[in-house]
Amino acid sequence: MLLLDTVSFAFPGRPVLADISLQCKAGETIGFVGKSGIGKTTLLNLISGYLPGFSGRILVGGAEPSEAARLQQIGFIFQTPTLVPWLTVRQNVSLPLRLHSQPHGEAEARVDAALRSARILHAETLLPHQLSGGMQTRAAIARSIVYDPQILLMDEPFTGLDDVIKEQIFTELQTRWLESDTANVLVSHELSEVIRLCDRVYVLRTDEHGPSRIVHCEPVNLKRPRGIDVLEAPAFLAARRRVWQYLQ
Amino acid sequence: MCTRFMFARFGRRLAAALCYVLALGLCWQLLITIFHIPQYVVPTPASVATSIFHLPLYYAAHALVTAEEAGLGIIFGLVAGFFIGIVLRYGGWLGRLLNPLIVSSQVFPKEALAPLFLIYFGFGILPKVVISALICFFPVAINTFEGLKATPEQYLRLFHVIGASPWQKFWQCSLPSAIRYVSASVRVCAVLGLIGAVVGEFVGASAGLGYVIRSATSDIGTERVYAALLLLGLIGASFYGITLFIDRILLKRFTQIT
Repeated sequence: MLLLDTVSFAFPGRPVLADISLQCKAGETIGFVGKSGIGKTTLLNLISGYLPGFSGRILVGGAEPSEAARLQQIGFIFQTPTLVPWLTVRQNVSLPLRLHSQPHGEAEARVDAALRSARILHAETLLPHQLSGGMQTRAAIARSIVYDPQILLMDEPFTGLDDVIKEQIFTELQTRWLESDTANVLVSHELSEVIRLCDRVYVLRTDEHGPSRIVHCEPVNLKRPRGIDVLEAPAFLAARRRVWQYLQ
Repeated sequence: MCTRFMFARFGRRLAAALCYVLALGLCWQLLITIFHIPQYVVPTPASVATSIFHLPLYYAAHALVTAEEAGLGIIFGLVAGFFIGIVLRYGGWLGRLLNPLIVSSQVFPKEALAPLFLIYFGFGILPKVVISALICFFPVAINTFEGLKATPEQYLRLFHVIGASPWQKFWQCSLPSAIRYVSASVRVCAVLGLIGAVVGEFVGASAGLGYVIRSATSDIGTERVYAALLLLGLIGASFYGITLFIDRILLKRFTQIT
């Protein structure tokens, strides 16, 4: 579903990423951890086709990233919910379907399902500034899944949410992942979140002025769904310790 | 309930504005009385009001001419400025070519250009409309350009990821983001357009409030000058009020949401 083959990228005068190679199959969830500014968001922007000019190869569902985006094969949950402020929740969620002129009846049914799945149907007529942070994140999740993307990219989507809301969203996401074959890529600086939600965790690290590379891949073989009690499981703690060593 | 609240608030604001005008008038009268200012230098509020009430049709006809010239100039200036702003943002080499021409069009004083426009366009309404439009298009063009440029990066990323075409990105993302900037420039033009019309009338006209001021000045009819200025103020306030209405009612979802 997602293939990166010796991907490197640099901004003018500044190398950012070097030799990134990995695969993510349908139904898998992978995560990236690393210090702030190491290139995690840049990596997601490359995969989504927003940033061109990389070397190597990126294939999303067999297509180039920009083509995959044009075909709505990529879902993206941004660090801030990025709801369009002049559209209601329902209009925000239906935006991807309206852009591609989906038949009205079918679109409405899919929007209803996405709103229900994200538990935000009750707020569909509200504007984004009328929502709490947690509700905005739910609306963003609903928008990113309404068109059934093949791959879902998540850029620190739980930033700023309280633990109760996070726990609810973790449960809902994992339920959805069990039911669908979307490939998921999660970027976060919260180590526990990434290990809890992902099947594999990649550690990005850089030398002093060089580009970031993958220095470790940690498989996480914990049974799903992973509730809050997994945080105290020996296997979880051991994985966390190993990843932490590579982050140092 | 909401409508009643809106009307009550409008009524309070209107009452406040009328009190403000009344207070200004009283101060004006007081200053004239205290400092014994001659009538031909600064007329009293009473003489200005008398002039208007004695010649209502005279002032109304000239006010309508100025309002028409300014209104047309503002509309043409807005439309031209809006499209020029789009070209500046997305036009590539054409935008870069236009930029210095647009800036230099604002450098020349309009009082210097007005006689030329009279030669080119005659003594009718057209030269005044052109001057008014020339003044108005620049702030709209610049604000449109800046508004489009200031489209938040995260919205552009969003529209890219959900497969929007370049036209959809412009129409549904960049343009709505820019409306607040364009709206602000429209409010500025509501006043600037009036200045352009009056400048044109000063140079050569047989009608309009600029003509009234020019002809009143020549025979020291200062109460007519003040009357024309008062009416210009009312026209300007009306234009500004219209832009506020458009901003707060029609464009509310784009301009007042943060």
